[in-house]
Amino acid sequence: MPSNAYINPFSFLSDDEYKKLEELWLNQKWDTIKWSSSFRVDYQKDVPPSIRLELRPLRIFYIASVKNGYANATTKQSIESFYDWDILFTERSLREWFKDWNWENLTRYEVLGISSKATDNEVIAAYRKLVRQWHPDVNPDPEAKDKFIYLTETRDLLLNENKRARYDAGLFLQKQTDSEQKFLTSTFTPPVKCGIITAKIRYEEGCKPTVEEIHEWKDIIVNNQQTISGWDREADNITLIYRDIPHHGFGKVYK
Amino acid sequence: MNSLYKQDKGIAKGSLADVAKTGKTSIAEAFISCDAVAIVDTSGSMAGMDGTSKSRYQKACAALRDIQAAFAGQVAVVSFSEDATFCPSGIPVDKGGSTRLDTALRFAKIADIPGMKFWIISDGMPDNPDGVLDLVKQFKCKIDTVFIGPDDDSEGGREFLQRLAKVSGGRAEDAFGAEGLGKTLKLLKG
Repeated sequence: MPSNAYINPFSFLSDDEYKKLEELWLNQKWDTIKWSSSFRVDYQKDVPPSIRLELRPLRIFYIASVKNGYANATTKQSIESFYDWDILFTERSLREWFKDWNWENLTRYEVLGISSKATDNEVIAAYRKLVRQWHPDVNPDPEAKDKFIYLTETRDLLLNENKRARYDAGLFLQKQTDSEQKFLTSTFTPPVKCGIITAKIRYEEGCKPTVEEIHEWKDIIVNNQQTISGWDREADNITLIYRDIPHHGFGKVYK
Repeated sequence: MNSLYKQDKGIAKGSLADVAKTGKTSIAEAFISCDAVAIVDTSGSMAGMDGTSKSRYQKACAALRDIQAAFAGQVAVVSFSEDATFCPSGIPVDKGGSTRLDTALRFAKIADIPGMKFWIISDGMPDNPDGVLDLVKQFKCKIDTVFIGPDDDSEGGREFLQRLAKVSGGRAEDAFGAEGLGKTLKLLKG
């Protein structure tokens, strides 16, 4: 989970290992360098061997809008083995990490940074604090007007007792939605981008490794352009594509 | 194996999921405009054909598709048999088995908000009728019932639904073997 307080996500690596990791990043030698197993650590040693969780670095070349009800995004761990999808991302892990990118993926409470039990006064206080930041008169961001309107809608919704009760009921029901319905009805679109990440991964016999929690994400930037990848089934390999670094409009870019 | 002969799939036009997708919002946001919750029986008996080419379940699905298309974003669907399932796609999910209406009512209680309508659509007697009636008494909103079973209702399902509606202060309707369900729902929607 992203946090304002900086926590070194690579603290589990020795100094030498971390140095090597930095060199890999700086030199961008992913095509030739195999990842060392020394980067792997046991995250929970007491789980049965058939199901284990590991915190480990990964090279991510692609995230697609693949949905299967359990993991709504898929990625490439290795550019060499492009025929198979190597790792699944749970929708939750992506939503949690990238939540600052898209307010529509947050609950109205999360938008205001308050608890779902917040009182009217707490709603108003949180609204006032944020609206000062996003008022189009003071914020030159092109999305500031939309954010301002969204914040005001959020305040109005949460201060209306009946609408808030319906919204709360909707949140409850949304959480209860089973995997098949989630698959049918998901409105989440994972980002399409490349990165080097550390993540908590679940390994289970007979299943593909699944990212449960992203701990760090470093976009792959080449010549000041963000790297994304395309995958043409007719092609022999993944095609790397570069695009201008997008402006996320939320004043925070993950590095 | 599917107990309802043929499972309906996809997303119904005007369902909460459809509205959420179209508006690029969440199911929870879409639910704000919802003013009716259809609690739909998908127990084994809903596979009954009543001498027609479609099962009661299929007829219920068709009627629900119509009502959601006519009142986009205003009708939520919860299906029940062994347990209760929220169906934002607008199509009741078949899980087969018994008729745990009490479980469905406990599940749907979260939406018992002033202005909400509840419709129970069923063809038979629930597993725990006394428990169901106790739960109904706890609802602030009225609960309407629609019987879609056969004319010769030997189990007493029709009578039970009438009793339930009376306890709740709601209306009890008979859709005459599910054929008239679409019209009945439109009538209840008002």
